[in-house]
Amino acid sequence: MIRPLVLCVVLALAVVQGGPAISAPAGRTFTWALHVAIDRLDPSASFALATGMAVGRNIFDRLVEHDERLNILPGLATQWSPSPDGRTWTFKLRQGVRFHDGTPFNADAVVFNVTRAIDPQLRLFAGTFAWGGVKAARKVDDFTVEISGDQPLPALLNNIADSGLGVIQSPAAIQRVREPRDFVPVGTGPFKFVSWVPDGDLVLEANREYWGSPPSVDRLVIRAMPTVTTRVNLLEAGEVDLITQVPIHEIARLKGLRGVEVDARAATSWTYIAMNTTRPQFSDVRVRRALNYLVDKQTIIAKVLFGVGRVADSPIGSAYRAHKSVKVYQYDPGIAKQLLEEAGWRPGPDGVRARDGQRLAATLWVPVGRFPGGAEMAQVVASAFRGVGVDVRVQELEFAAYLGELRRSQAESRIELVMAGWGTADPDSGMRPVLHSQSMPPRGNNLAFYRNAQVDDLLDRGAAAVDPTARVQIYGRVQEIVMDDAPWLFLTERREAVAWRSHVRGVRFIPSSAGLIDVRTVTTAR
Amino acid sequence: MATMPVPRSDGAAPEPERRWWAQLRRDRAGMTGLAVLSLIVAAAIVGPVVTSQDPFQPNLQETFLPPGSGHVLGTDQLGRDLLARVVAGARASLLSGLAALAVSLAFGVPAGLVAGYSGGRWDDVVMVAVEILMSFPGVLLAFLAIAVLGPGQQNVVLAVGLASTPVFARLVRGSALAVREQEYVMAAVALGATPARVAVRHVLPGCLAPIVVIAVLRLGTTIVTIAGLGFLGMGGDPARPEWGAMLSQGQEFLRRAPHIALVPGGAMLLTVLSVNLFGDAVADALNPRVLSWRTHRGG
Repeated sequence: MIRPLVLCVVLALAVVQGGPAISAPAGRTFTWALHVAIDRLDPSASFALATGMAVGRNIFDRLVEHDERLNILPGLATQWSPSPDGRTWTFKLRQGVRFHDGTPFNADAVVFNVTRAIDPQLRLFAGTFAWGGVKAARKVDDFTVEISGDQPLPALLNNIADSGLGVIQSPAAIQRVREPRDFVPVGTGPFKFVSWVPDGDLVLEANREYWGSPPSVDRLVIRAMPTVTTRVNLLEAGEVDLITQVPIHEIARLKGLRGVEVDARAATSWTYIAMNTTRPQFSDVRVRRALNYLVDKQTIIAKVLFGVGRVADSPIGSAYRAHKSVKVYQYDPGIAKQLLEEAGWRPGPDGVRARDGQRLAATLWVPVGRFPGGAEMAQVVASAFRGVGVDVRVQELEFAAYLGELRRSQAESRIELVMAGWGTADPDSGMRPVLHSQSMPPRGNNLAFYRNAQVDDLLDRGAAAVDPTARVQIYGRVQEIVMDDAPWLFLTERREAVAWRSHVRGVRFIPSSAGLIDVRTVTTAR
Repeated sequence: MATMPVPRSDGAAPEPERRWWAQLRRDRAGMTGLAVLSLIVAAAIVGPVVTSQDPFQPNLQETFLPPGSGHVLGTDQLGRDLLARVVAGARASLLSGLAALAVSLAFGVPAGLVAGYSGGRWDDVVMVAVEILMSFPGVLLAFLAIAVLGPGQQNVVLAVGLASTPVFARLVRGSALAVREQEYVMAAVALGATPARVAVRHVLPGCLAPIVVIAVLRLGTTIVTIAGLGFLGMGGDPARPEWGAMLSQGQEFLRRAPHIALVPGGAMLLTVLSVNLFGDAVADALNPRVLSWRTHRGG
C-alpha cells in the first residue's frame, strides 16, 4: 500500500516541476511513442494487444517466444514436447530465475498463472487467447509442468508466444493485490516496473539480474500517443526514439530525413473484402472470380498504399510458416467480363448487369479509419467494378456501427460486401474463425458466410494435428481451395511501418497479432 | 426613424419593404457576402456542366498533382480533379444545408406556433421538450440521431435538421406570444375565426421576420455541422464530393499535398463567411422594423 502512495507523490512532483525531464535519471533512456493506449498493467486480464506488446513483452517472459520468422524459441521453458495424442504438453523450466520481487520462478508459478488465466470466474482474455483450449496445468516436479486440454493443442506454442498476454507473473505479487488498482506488474522480464500514468507514460528500468542478456538501455519509457501527427512530429523533433504505426503516406518523406530510419515489414495480418456468398449476386463462384480479376492489386499497392503492401497470393499473410503462394488473380477486365457473361449477368438498360431481374449491385462497407488506405482502396475497386457494369457503392461505417453489423446472424445479416482484416500467429486461429462454416457471425468472423465441407474438414484435421509438417500440408490445401472458391476479394497483406532515430540499433520485428516491435534488444548511443 | 408608420387601410405596405432593401444595399459587408454567395450558388448550379472532369472517377496515374498542371486546383489522392469535386461539393453542401433547414422549419415552426399561440398545457409540453433538447449541444443531438438512423447523407441532413429544430420552436413561440396580444389578432378572434385559422393566417405571418433572419444565420452553422459529420465519416459514401469528407481525407496528406485539404476547407470558409455576412446584414436591416413589418403584413 505504501509503494503506490509514494509513487503518486513522486509523480505529482514530477508533473508540478515540469514533466518527464525531472524524473529521468542519469543513464540511457529509450522512449517509444506507442500508437494506442495501454488499458491496464495486468497482461493476463488485458483486452488490449498493446498491453501485451508494451507490458507483456518487457516486464514479463513467456514459456516460449517467437523469432522473426515465427520459429519457436525457448523462453522460461527450455524444452517442450507434446504427448502422442497432442492433448498434453510437457515443459521443462529454466532454473535459477527470480521474479523482480525476489521470489523464485518454478513449476508452482507456472501452474498458478495458467490456473488463474483459465479460471472461468475471472473471465480473463488471456485465458481464451493465449491459453485457448487449455483445461489444466499440473506440476510434475519443481521444474517440470504438464499443460493439457480435452482436445489436441497443436496451436499452444504459437498462442503462448504470439500476443505477449500469456505471461508468467509472480504469484506472490498477485496474491498481495486486494484492490485492482493496487496491482503492480512483477515478472521475470528484462525490465522492471517503475511507474505508469494511464494514457501517459509507462516507465520501466533495466533488470540487471535478467536471466538472458540484460538490456543495454537503463530506462524504457513507453508513451501512449494515439494521434498520428503528434507521433511523427515528436520523432522528427528527436523527443522520442521510436514510433509505431507510421502512416503509410509519411514513409517516403521520413525516409528522406536525416537521422530517421523507417522500415515496414510483413505482419501476420491481411486486408480483404468478404463477399456474402449467400446473396444471389455472389453465390456463383464465376462472379466472385470475375470480381477478383477486376482488382488491380499492383496499382493499388503502388498508388494507394505508397508501395507498402504485398499482393495477396493466398488468403493468409506470408509471415505464416504455413503460408503457401497459391496464385494471384491478375488484373484483367476481359476475363472478368467473360466470366460475368458466362454466369448469365448481362448489361441491362441502365448499364448495370442483371440476371432474371436481379441487378448486380451491392454496398461495400468500410470501417472508418481502421485500414490504412481502406476507403481509397474501396473507391478504386468500386470504380473498376462500375466500369464493367457491376454497381458497387462504398459506404463508410463508424467502427462501432461496423462491429454491430458484423455480429448479425446469417438470417439478419445485411452484409453484401465488407472490408475486413484478420491475422494471428497460428494458422488455426488465422483461418478457422474466418472460413469455417461453424464460425458464422455472431460466433465467428466468417463474414462471407462461406460454407465448404472440404475446408471445414481440413480445418478440423489441422486443429488436431500436432505434427508441424502435417499442419503445413493441411493448411496449404485450405489456401488452395479458398483461393479457387474466392469467397473474398483478395487484396493485400498488411505491413506495419516503424520509424526510429538513427542512433538506435537493434530494433527487432516479430510478426504478431500484438504488433511488430520488440525493443528488448535495442541499444542507443544517446 | 419612423418606427410607427401610419397603417394603411388597404393593408398593402410597399414602403417598408423597399426601405428594408435599401438599408441592406448600404451594408457593404452584407453585399460582399451576397455577391460571393451568388458566385458559389452559380458555380453549384452550372459547375457540373462547365467542368469537363468527372469528380468521381479515380485515375491512379494522376494522383497528388499540384494546382496548375492541367488541373486548375490539382488532383487528390485518387487522381480526381479537385475543381470538379469542390464544385460538385458546393452543390451538395448548399442543398444539404437548405434541406436540413427545411427539416428544422418543418418541425420547429408548427411546434413553436402551437406552444406560443395556444399556451397552457401544450406550451408546457412543447417547451419542456425544447428545453431538454436545447441542453444538449447540437452536434451531440445529431450524433444521437445518426446512431439511431444509421450513416448516410440523407440521415445526416435529417439529423442536423432535427438538431436545430428546438431553436426555431423557441423562436416562433416567443414571437407568437407577442403577436397574439396584438389587436388585429384579437379582432380576428372576436370575429369568430377558428384557432387554427388565427394561428396560421394571422399569427404566423407576424413571426416571419425573425424566422427569416435566424434561418439565414443558421444556414452557415448548418453547413458546418453537416461538413463536421462528413468529416467524421458519417456521410456514408467516401467517394461523394462532400466538403467535410474531402477535408477529412485531405488532412492525412497535409504535408505532402496540402491543397487536397485546403481546397475544400477554403470553399467551406468562403461559403460560411459569406452566408454569415449576408445573414448579419439581413438581421440588421430587418430588426428595427420587425414591429412595423409585422403590423402591416399581419392585417
